[in-house]
Amino acid sequence: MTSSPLIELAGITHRYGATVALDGCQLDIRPGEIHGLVGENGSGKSTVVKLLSGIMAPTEGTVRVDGKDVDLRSPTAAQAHGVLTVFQETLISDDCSGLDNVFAGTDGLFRRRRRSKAELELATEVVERLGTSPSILTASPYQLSLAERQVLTLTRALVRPWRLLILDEATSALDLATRDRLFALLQAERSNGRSVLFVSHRMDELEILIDRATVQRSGHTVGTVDRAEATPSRLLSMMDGRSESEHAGAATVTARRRDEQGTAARLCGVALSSDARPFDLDVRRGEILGVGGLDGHGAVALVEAFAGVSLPPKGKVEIDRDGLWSRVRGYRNAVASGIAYVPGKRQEEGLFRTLDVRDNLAMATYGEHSRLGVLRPHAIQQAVRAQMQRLGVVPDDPDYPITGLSGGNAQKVLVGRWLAAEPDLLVLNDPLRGVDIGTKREFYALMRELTDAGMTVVMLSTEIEELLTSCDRVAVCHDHGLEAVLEGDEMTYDGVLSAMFGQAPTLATHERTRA
Amino acid sequence: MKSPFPRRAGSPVQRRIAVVALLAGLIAPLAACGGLSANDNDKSSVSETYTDLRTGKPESARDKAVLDALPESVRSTYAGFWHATRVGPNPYADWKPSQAPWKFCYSSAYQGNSWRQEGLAVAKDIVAQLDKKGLVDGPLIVSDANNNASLQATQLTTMVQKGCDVILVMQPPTVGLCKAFDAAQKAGALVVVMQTGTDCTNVVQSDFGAYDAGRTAAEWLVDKVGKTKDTIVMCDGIPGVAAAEARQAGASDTFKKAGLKVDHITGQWTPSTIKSQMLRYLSTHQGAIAGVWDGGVCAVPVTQAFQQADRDLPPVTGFEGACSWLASWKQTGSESFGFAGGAGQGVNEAFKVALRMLAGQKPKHNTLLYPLVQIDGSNVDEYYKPGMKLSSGCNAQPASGDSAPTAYYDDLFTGTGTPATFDAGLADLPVK
Amino acid sequence: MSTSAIEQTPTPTSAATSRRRRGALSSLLVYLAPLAMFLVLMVATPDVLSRTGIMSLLVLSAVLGIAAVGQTWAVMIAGIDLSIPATIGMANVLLTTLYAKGWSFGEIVVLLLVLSILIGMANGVLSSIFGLHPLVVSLGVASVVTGGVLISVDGNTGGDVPGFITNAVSPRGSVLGVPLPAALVVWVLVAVVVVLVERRTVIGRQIFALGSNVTAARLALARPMLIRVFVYSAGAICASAAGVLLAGFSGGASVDIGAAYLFSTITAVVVGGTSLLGGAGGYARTIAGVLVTTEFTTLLIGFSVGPNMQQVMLGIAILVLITVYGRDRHVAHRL
Repeated sequence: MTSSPLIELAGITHRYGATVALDGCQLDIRPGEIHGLVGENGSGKSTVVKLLSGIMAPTEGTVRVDGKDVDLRSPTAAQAHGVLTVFQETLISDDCSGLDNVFAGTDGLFRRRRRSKAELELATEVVERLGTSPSILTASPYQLSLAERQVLTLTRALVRPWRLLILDEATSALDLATRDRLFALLQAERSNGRSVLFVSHRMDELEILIDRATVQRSGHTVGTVDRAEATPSRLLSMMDGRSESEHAGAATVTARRRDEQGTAARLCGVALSSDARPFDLDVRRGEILGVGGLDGHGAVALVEAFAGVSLPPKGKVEIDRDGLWSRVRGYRNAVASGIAYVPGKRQEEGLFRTLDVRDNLAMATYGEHSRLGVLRPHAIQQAVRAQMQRLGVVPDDPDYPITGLSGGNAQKVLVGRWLAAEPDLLVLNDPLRGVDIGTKREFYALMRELTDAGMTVVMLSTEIEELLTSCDRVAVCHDHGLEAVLEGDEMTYDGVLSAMFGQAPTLATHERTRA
Repeated sequence: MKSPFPRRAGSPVQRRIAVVALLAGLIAPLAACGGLSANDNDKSSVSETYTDLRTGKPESARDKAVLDALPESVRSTYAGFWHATRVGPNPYADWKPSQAPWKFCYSSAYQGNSWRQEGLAVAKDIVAQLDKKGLVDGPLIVSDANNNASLQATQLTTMVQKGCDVILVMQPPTVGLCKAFDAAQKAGALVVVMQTGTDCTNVVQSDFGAYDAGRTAAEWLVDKVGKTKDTIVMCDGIPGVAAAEARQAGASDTFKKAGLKVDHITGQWTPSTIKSQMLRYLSTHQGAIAGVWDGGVCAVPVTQAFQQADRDLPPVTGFEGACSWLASWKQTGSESFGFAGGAGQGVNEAFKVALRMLAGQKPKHNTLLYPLVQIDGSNVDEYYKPGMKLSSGCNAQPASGDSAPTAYYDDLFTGTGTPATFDAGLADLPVK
Repeated sequence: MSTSAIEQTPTPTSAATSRRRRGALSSLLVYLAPLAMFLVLMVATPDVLSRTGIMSLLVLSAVLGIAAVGQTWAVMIAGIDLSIPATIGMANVLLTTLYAKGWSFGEIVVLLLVLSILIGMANGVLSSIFGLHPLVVSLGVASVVTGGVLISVDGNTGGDVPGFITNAVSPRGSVLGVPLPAALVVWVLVAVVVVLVERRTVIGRQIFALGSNVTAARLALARPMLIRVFVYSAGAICASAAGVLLAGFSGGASVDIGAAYLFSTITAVVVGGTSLLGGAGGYARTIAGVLVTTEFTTLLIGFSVGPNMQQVMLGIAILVLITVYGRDRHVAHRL
């Protein structure tokens, strides 16, 4: 692989006003390679992606395609050079079919009434290669899961004539099976001379996939390493500048087994869909209960049941309030009972994109910081500052627009909104999707701190690694039932994965499935 | 690599330029159309029996010929008729009136204001009087279309089915009802459209000479202000509405002839709009204003605007003889000029036309225009009543009950049948 | 946890800085626009620089401004209120007819308050429980209101206007000896209350939250239906107040008197820069929008521009202003 680069960034500097986002960035992507781009939040990764996608033009420096200087001044220009980008946000319009979404913007001035047969076949082929049912092309996107929506955005890029595919955290919404299919597809296309720029926080994914990786730190390019060198600990040390040995072994807080201090909440005879098997599940006070499962197998319904967001069709959810069981009858009732819920779709269900950090952080607790409906600005300012400091929100400014924050920081604000309510039970729906490793580590530590103080946490995660390292126990859903609750030695990667596929390694000892 | 995907235009700057270009592209044809429509003066179609509705345009040869053919006694009332209506032969020439008693029907485009209510009240009163003479079959059938043309068409069809002999139509839309009128005519019902011009030539129309009224008021103002370099403000009605344009044409022609400088405000026949437009005009024009010509509803809000802006009140005409205008006249003591133009007299005149036709007389033309009774300093005390206030919603009615003397119509009809008579009773309408 | 955060990169995300500046710049433009427009007006028609000239402008602005409260909030919750003209007409006709029948002004005000809240409830409840777009709901409500008023007064819309109302909207009017028209004073009070509610109350912030993201607002304990009822009721009350002032303004009464206020309230809101997508903006911006549009139409009259050309110019002005203020093109650029 010594041919000239497919695309090259040479000495790129980019400023927003006085702030330098990129300083002398160097990146070259060869034809037929999968190139990793890693770095913590604020390291300039997303600026690189935006420059390559034609969303912004660099302040200084040169972009070369096939050795020739080019001006990627619009997404259209980038596409004309075969550069296509898939973002973490699943930008899908709910108002037209999946197929229309895939071919959005290809009709010229007027939308065509019908898609051609050739287009349908092309899209179907791509969707099937990704192991997803082609029905997502005809269904209304509104009904699709996050993963299926992400498949649509991937298809949108893959049906076009691409030479460089940029995946910006685009795998975080995918379930494991689809992700593996995507990787296989990318590896096949690599041998056709096509290239991929893979931006991810997931070390395991990077390790499987990439040929080379470029590391960014604080706007600078630290360097590019070959596959052999690109071990997780090496990459991590390049990213944060600490020595490699600090990263050897587990990069995360080790899970601990906790003494039982009684049950904080429980599901009694709950079925997650009307024809699924009912089960019981207890959550112990002060524990972090992980919830996992393949996409669409009931894990989301399980956490939503705890939070009262959607009540299960059968069974009841109860929370312990001063020794008495109080039934959760709905969302507001759950909140009043000391439950807090951090939703999964950050953009769709969590953030107020038009508002600033203060509003986003304090919206749920404005009622507490008011007298007769009139806000008390000083109390709010203090509470907001305290939460921001506790969570380390960057930038440390409540007047900042929330859209100016990185994904990790926005997620901190969202969690802070509910921590401010000081709940007994914190229910998190995949809170760390697409968040950088630094923030994840802070977050695990915070959860541990909270549970030490007596809070109980139920956390859904789509990453098995995360369930294993951050949770005390892991409940795995399969086919809308509770397949297994794993703890201690049972908590292994294979164990969780097997349970997800309905192959529980051992009989779940603690929670028995009702016949 | 050949891409199947078309390219889209690029940068934001280009897009903004595109927006500006698009706007320019929108306006250019608008302006061009304005130029075009001003140029199609004389496409005289001699074969057509009716003149064209030519709102806001100068007199054509055809219009002049039609006007000159009219009897001397009505000619000045018909002046400028092409702004508001079409003139031609009587569409009911072959119609044979049925024998009394007759069923009367009243189709109103809208009933949501005091003016329309007054018209309906007068119609009911007249029908009651005719009923006493045994000329009426059943009560007056009334419909209100709430400004919905297709609803009004349906209502007209229903009226035909109910066997109406005479359908009086109050201010229908200029277009859109011709087919319904056609059906009514075929069923033998007489349709009389009141107080507006229409594009439909299959009905009999009764209206006042709007051009003439606008001209007369303007002439009074010209007399009043004498030779002056100050500006006359014309308070216009709804742009594009034939009745408004006809009045304005009459006034404009007069002011032009007198060599006066004219500015316009557009009040939309709505007092609050008129007042805010006038206030805006006054605050941007500190120069002296010679007088204000009222194209309808303007007198009171314009007077208030002058008062509240601390400006000297020049002569302000009235138009439709609103009670509030008379009250304002009494209050300010500033002489004015207007007409007795309530809805009642309009209904009154339409009934006179209908009853002549029911008696076997035939109009010479489809359109019957009559002059309005003038109110000026010499006769204002006959019209002002103590109950009238600035907030009154009524209108002054002709003192004699008739806008046009019976003899006026003699020149416009042929045949000798003696029509039924009634007492208009307009003087008894309540002052509200 | 906080310590590690500080060790991390304290550099603010740079894109946000520029976005924030752009936001501040856009706000500044909005608030400077009335001043700039006034300067233009002054240069173009120096006649406007008189007490009555300026007071006329302010009185006209006050009526529009009060009518635009409801539209601003409706747009902020990503809705729209087409019932404002009908509510103005209702208050206008009921005030004059009932006052002529001998009702006291106080009684009429109480009646109008009750009716306004009913209108607000109809708009808020119907758009919430049936999930209908407020465009449809408020259009239906408008029709019911207008029809109901005409039935109740039997089409006779004339009546009497209390003298102090006429004085309140006269550019020569005064309050307690201070030469300011009462309508202007009322507007200032309304504006202060509205802006304080937006910024300093729970429901005010929830209005923003609801417009920004309904699901998230619900999860953050806002009650969408309650907020909608509040927004549309407050809007109807203000529209009624505008209807009362208009009665004094024009003397007569008509159910159609508010017709012009549909277009002009939306124009004022949009020119103020409140996004029709909801969740942003606010009444302070609408005040600027009201002043700019009033000044602009006065300018057109000052230049003796014809009515049809006025429409064209106003349309162009709106389009140009919207382009100048700019919009959040964040998402648009990613596709």
